[in-house]
Amino acid sequence: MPMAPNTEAIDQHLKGFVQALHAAVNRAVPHVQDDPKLVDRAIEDCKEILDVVLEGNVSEWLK
Amino acid sequence: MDIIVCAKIVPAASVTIQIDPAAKRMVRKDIPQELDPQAACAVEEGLRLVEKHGGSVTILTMGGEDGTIGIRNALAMGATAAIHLSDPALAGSDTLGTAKALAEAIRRERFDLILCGTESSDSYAGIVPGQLAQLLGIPPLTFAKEVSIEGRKVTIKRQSESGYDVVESELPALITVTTGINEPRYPTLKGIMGAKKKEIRKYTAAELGLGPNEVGETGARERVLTVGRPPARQAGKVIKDEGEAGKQVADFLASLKLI
Repeated sequence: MPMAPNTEAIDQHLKGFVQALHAAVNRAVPHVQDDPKLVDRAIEDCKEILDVVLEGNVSEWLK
Repeated sequence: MDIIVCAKIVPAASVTIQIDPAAKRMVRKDIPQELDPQAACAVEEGLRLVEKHGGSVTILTMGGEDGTIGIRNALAMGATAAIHLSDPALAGSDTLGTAKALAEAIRRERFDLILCGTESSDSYAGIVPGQLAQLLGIPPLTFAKEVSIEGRKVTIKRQSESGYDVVESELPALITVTTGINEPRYPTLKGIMGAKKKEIRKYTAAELGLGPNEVGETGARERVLTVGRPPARQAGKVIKDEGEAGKQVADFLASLKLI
């Protein structure tokens, strides 16, 4: 089956999302005890990204 | 303040690094890549300096097309633009060939400061920044754990075994930063969405005026002769406390001349 023309772009975009989530979690975890504000902000940033992924408006990502 | 950050794109931390036994090189093709965590500290420092003094942060990297995701990571953090040296003619370059290519790309840009990680987290050579400073004819300030700029003067706290040394230089200069210098920011949604609109300029070896005697496999003067695993760690000595453990521990430390 031929690949959809935007498969690679979507793949790159999803990788970017996953790496950002990973980086946010890595940044927050060491500060769970000492910097709750940083942790809260990281959680909010992760939620923002996950909301966009769940919404699934792929054409918006690729604009 | 125009800053260029030399950033390596390396196999993602989740990847178990494999060595190609024939080429004696790390397998980099078709595996997930990311911005080197050491380079991420240099990007972060560049962004902080520009937030304070104004200017731009340009990412410069050399490597295959697989590296685009790592470049996007840096752009999503907030870098202004990127330059990607991607050309099969550059593949197999040794550290000096890499430094020559980076230097030629930098000569085409306006810059006040070059930032690099102290060493990459895949090969840990740590040679390129020094070579790059030499080729560009600018002073290298290494192992920076803190950077400050006042006018045309840059000051670093240089990490040493016993603390730090304060080192100053006029700009332009090249600085290598330690991983302890900062905690890199992570890309936000806005950053990710904005990154794809940012410019990634590309150069080939020929466009940089570099031929096969200077870069790539044939231009490389370094040769990897063998690659091997480090020797396995020896099993530790277990001391059971049957009334004389303290003496045995003391004897053991004395045998090592630690007490």
